[in-house]
Amino acid sequence: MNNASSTDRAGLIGWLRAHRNWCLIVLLPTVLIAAYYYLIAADQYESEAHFVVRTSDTQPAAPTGLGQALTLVGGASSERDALVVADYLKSHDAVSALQSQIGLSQRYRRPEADIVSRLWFANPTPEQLQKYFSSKADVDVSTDTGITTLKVRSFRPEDSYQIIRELLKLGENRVNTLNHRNYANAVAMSQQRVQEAEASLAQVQGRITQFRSDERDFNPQVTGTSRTTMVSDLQGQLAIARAQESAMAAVLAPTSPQLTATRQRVAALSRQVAAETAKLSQGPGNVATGMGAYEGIKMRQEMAGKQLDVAYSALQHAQDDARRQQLFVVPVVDPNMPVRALYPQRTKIVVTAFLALLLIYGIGWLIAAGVREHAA
Amino acid sequence: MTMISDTSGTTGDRGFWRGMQIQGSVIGALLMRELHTRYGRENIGYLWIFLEPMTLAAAVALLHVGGGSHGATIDPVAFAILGYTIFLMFRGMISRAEGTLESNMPLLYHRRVTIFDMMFARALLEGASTIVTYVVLMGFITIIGMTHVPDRPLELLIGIFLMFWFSFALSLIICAWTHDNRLVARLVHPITYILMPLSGAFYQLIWIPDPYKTWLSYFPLTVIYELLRYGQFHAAKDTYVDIPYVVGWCLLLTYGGLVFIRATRRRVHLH
Repeated sequence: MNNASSTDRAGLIGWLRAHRNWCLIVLLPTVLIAAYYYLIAADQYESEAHFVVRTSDTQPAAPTGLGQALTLVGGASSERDALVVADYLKSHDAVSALQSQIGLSQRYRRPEADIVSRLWFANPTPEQLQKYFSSKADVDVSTDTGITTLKVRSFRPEDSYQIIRELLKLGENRVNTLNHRNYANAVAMSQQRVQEAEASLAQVQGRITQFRSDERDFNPQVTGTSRTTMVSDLQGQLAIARAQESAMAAVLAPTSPQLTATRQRVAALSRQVAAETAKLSQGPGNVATGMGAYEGIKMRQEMAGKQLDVAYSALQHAQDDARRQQLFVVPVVDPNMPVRALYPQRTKIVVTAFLALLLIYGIGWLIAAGVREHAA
Repeated sequence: MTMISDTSGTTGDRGFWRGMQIQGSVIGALLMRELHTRYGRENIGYLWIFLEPMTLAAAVALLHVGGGSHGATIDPVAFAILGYTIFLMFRGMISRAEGTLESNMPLLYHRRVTIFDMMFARALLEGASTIVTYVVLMGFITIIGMTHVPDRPLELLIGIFLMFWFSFALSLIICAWTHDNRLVARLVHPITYILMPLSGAFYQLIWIPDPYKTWLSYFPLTVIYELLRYGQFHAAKDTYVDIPYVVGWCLLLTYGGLVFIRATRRRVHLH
C-alpha cells in the first residue's frame, strides 16, 4: 500500500472511522484469527484406524423387529464389547501407558508445534496430559455397525502413526488381560469342585487300605465266599462220615477199631464245622461285620468316583464357555501414515468466525437501533 | 429522571443509556399489562399452567409404576415433566406470537413501544411461568422421592436459557410472518403439536435407530433437550450435545427475526 495516494488513504481512514464498530467487532477479530491460523498455527497430521471387537461366539441374532427394539435400549453385545475397549482407550490408564512407552508429552512438544496448540507443560501432570490428549484423539463407536473408529492428531505424520499403533496395541493387551481374568473367574469354581472330589476320593481310598491292613483281610467278600464253601465242604464230609458211621455200626462190633476211628472223625468234623460257622458270623473279626463295613466304604468310593466324573465334565463345560466368550480385536482398517496435513481446517474456521461475528454485529446493531428509538 | 442530553438519536453514549432505561421500563410496563389481561380476572387460567403438566405427569407415572424401562436410573416421571414443561415454553411463545400484534396494535401509537418490546415482555412472562412450573413440579416429586436434585445445574440452566433464546428468536420471525400471511397463522398451532413428539421432549436420541438419529441430531430442539437431560439426570450422556451448533441456530434466527420485525413495523398501518 506504499503507492496509495493520500486521498485514498484519507478515504480508507475515513471509512474505517465511520464503521469503527464494525471494524472492532467483525474485522479485527477475523483478521487476528486468520493471522494466527495462516501464519502461526502448525500443521497437524491425522492418522486413522478402524477395528471391531467381537467374540468367537458367532451366533448372529436374527434381526427381527422385536429383537431390534430390544437391542435399541440395551445395545447389541458386540457394541457393548466395543464400548469396553473405547472406554479404556479414553482413560487415564491408556494415556499414562502411552506416556511411559513412547513419551507422549515430548511428541506434543515438538519444535514445529506452535505456542498455542502445543502441550504447554514440559512435565504435565497425568490429568493435564489426559485432557490435552483427549482433544487430539477421538474414539467413536458406531452404534449401527459396531465398528470403532480411532483418530489421532499430532504435529508429525510418524508421531500420529506411532501413537495410534501403540494405542491399538494397548487396546489388544487390555482385551487379552480381560479374557484371562474372565477365564480364570469362570473356571476357578469348577476347578475347586474337581479338587474337592479328588480329595474325597483319595480319602475313601485311604480308608480301604486302612481297613485291609487292620482286618488283615484283603477282600472280605472273597474271604466270605471261600469260608462258606469250606463250611459246606466240611458239612458234606460230615454227612458222608455220619452215613459211614451208621452203616458201620450196623455191621461191626461197637468196640471195633474202625468204628471208633470213624466216630472220632465225625466228632472232629462236627467240631470243625461249628468253629467255622462261628467264625462267619460271631466273635471279633468275623466275616459278617467286616463285610458290612467294607461294603459301606465301597459305596463311598463309588459315589466319590461319580462326583469326580461330574466335576470333570462341568470343568470342561466351563472352559469351553469361557473360550467361546473371549473377545478379539479384529482390525478393519489399519492405521495410515498421513501425508497431507488436514488440520487445522484454517479456511473453515476463519469463515465460520467471520460469519458468526457478522451475525453478532447485525443483532447488536438491530438491538442498539431499537434502544435508540426509545431515547429519540 | 430529567436528563439533559443530546437526544438527537446519534451514537452518543448517554442517549444509548437513556434509551436502555426507557426500554427497560417499557418492557416492565408491558409485562404488568400482559399479566393483568391474561390472568387478572379469570383466575383458573393461571392454575391451568400447573394442572396441564400435572395431569400428564400423573398419567406417565401410572404407566411407569415399578418399571424402569427408561434405561439406567433416568426417572420416567421426572423425564416426562422435564420434557413437557420446557416444551410448554417453546409452544407458549410460538403459538402466542401470532396474536401479539393484533391485540397490542393500539400501543404502537406510542413511538416508544416497539414490537420487540411486546414480544420480549411476552417471552419473559412465558419463560418465567414455565420455569416456575418446572421448579414446582420437580420440587414436588423430589420431595416425595421420585427423583433427585439436578445433577449438573449449570448445564440445566444453559439448556433452559438456550430454549428461551431459540423460542424467542423463532417467535419474532413468526410474529412478523403471520402479520401479513393468514395461512401461516393457521398453520402455526398444528405445527407446534407436530413438533412435540419430534422435538426430543419424550425420547432420548440413543433410543432412535441410526439413519433417523443422525437426521434428528441436526434438529436444534433435540440437541437442547439432550443438554437439558444431561443437566438434570446423572445417568444421561452428553454424546449428542453440541452447544455451539444450537447457538449458531439461535444467532441466525435472532438476526432474521430482528430484521423481519423492523420490516413489519414499517408495514403496520395504524388506523
